[in-house]
Amino acid sequence: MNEQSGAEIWDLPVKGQPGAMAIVGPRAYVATDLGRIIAVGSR
Amino acid sequence: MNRSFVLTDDAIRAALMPAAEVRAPIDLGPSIRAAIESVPQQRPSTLASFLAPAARPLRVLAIAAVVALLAIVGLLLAIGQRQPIPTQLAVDAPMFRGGPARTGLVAGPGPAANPVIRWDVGLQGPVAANSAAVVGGVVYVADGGGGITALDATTGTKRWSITLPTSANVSPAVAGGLVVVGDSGGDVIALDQATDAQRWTLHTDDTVRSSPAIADGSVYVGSQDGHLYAIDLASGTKRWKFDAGGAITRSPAVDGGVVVIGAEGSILSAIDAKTGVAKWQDHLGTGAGTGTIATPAVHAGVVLATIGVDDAQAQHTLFAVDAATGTERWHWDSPTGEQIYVGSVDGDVVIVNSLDDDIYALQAHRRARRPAPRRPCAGSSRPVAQWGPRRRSRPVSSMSPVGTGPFTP
Repeated sequence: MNEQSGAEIWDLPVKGQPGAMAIVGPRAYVATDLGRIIAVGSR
Repeated sequence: MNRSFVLTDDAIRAALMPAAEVRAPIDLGPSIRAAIESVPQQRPSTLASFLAPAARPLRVLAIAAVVALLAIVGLLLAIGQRQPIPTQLAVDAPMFRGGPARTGLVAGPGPAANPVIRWDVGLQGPVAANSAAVVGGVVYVADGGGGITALDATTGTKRWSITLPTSANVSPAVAGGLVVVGDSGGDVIALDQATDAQRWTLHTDDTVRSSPAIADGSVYVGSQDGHLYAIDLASGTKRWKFDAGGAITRSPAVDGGVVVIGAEGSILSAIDAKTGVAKWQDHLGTGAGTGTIATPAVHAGVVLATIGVDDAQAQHTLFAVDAATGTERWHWDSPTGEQIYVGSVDGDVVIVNSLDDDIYALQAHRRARRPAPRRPCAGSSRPVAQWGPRRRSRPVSSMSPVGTGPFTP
C-alpha cells in the first residue's frame, strides 16, 4: 500500500495465513502459519 | 576605445607554420588549403610505437597485466559455478520490527508492482508469529517446531539448520556474528551466525516468547518468569535482571539508552539500559490490571503500545506515552473493538493494523504541544486516514506496509 494515501499497490495470494514480515531491499520475506517462509520479489 | 583585429593573409600565414612552405597566391581559400597541405603528416601509428624495440619493457608489462586479468576472471567464474554469490543487499533487517526501537521502519523499497514468489521453503513448525531476520544476504528464522534455519536470501538454499529441544516462538535477533533466540524451555541461546555452533546459553525460569532486542552490545529479552534480562552479547553473561511485575510474553523496545517492556497486568516499564534501574513503571489504561501490553514502539521520545484493557489477550487501545516520564499523551480506541497492533511509526504517522480488516494511520504527536492530562482523562487521537475498507474479506497482514502482521508479539 502507498504509505501516504493507503492506495493498494499490489496484492499477492500466498498459501496459509501470512503473518510477520521482514523487508530488505526489493524483497519481502513472509512467514506463514503453515510453517513456510516465502520470499516475494519483482519479476 | 574599441580595438579591432583585421584578418590579413599575412596573419594567416603566420599562424600556419612553417610559413616558408605556404605559397602564394594570396587568395584566402586556396591559401589556407595549401598551407594545411604543406604541414608534414608523419605521426607514427600506435601499433608501430608498441612494436618498436624501445618499447619492449612496456610490452612485457602489458602482456603480464592481461594474463593476470584473465586468471582473475577465470577464478571468479569457477567460484560462481560452485556456489551462487548472494545478491549484496543494501540494508539488513536484523531483528523483529526492523530494529531495537521496534518502529517497523525498513529502507525498502520492498517488492515493486506485480511481485512473484521467488522461493518458498518449508520449516519444522509454524512461523506466522515470528518475523525472519535478514542479515548479509542470509535469512534467519525460528519456528514452532524448535527449528532455527539459515537460508540464502537470494535462492532460499539452506545454509544450516538446527533443532532446539523445545519450540522457538520468537523472531531471531542477529548482531555481532551471533543469532540470538529464546525457547519455551526458558533458554536464551546464541548461535554462531556462520556455522550454527552454540556460543552461549542463559537460562530463565519460564518460557521465552519475547523476541530479543540487541543494542550497544547487550541482549534484552523478557521471560514469562516475570523478568526482563540484560545479557552481554559477546559472553552471554547476565548484566542485570528486572522484575517487570508480571509475565512477559511480548518483546522489549530499546531507544536512547532506555528499555521499554510491557507485562501482564497492564504494566509498562521503562528501564535504564545500563543499570537495570526503573525510570518509571505504571499501569496503562484504567489500571484494572487485566490487560496484556503488546510490543511497544519508541519514536521521538514517545512510547506507542497497544493494550487490551478488558481482555487479557486482545489489544484494542493504543496509548502514546512520554518515554521520559511515563505520562500519557493520548490514547485511541479501536472503533470496532477488534485487536490492533502498531505496524510502524515514522515521523508523525503511526500505522495501526487491525483484525477488523482495516489499517489506520494516526498522528503520533498531535497532542505533543498541549498539556497532557493524566489518565483517565487523557485526550484521544482520531485517525487521519483509514485504509482497507471492508470491500474484501482478507487478513490485514497481507496489506501491512512495513513488515509486521497481526500475530506479531
